[in-house]
Amino acid sequence: MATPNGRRVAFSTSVVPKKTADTTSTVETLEDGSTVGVALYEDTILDTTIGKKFGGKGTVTIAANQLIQGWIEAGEVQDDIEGIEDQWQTVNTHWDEMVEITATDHTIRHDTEDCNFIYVKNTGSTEVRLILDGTEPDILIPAGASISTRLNNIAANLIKVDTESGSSTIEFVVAKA
Amino acid sequence: MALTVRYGSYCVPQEQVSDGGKFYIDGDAKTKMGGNNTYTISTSYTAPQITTSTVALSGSQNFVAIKALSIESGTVLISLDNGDTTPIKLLTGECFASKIASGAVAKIVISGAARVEYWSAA
Repeated sequence: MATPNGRRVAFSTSVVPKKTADTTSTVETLEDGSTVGVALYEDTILDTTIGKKFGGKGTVTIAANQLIQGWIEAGEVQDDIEGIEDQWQTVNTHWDEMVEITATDHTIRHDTEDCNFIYVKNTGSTEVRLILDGTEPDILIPAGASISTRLNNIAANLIKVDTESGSSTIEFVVAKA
Repeated sequence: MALTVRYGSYCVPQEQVSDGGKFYIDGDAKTKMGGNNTYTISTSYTAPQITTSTVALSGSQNFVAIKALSIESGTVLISLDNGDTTPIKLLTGECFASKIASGAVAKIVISGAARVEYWSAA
């Protein structure tokens, strides 16, 4: 397929701090044995110290031609590999399956292009660690969680994932600037 | 009383067929993408603060939320190794929120005129 005229990624992050506590029961028993009032229950409210929901959104323009098919994995089978035969042969990557992440560092995108956006979701059950500088696993992504953020033009070969132990799977977008 | 943080990140890759045309969901993605999780605050957390200059968050924090409120000039970058590298960039209105490793030290690096709001939890 032809390269599109343009590409971009709309992204957002939301954070809701919550406080959960049991309420005080107001139940009283009347003379006839019946009860009135509200029984104890667990109530959740917006945390009063932080005091608000937190979040933001943005749109990052990425390269129209991402050069390789392996810049994105959305859990959808990707049958169309037209025009990327060389990469198919030289890069042993994941075209039609979820990526398995182990305790060994795994480079997500198999080239050295500068990248300005990343999204990683942990689709497995073991916490995944994201590395953005080639060495330090500073970002932790628990099961079901995801991260999406603009990058400061990071070379693709410095972006890696691993687990502390065990294995997991991810879906991802690592976009060339 | 339990303190938790429900957080999520989402993205929609899009492609434009022709110059000036509409953007559609990228054919390589085929879907909107996103995930969320609940982080349980174990010990302490801070109320939101606003900074206009570079600031390092406490090294004992395990969850950070940082939002660029406004950027009049310069850049807002985020380091997770106390400034050695700055891999994350925020533009106005963008937010970074994540669980971070116990050895990570989040630092907001501001050059120019910008207002950034942040809070963190252990």
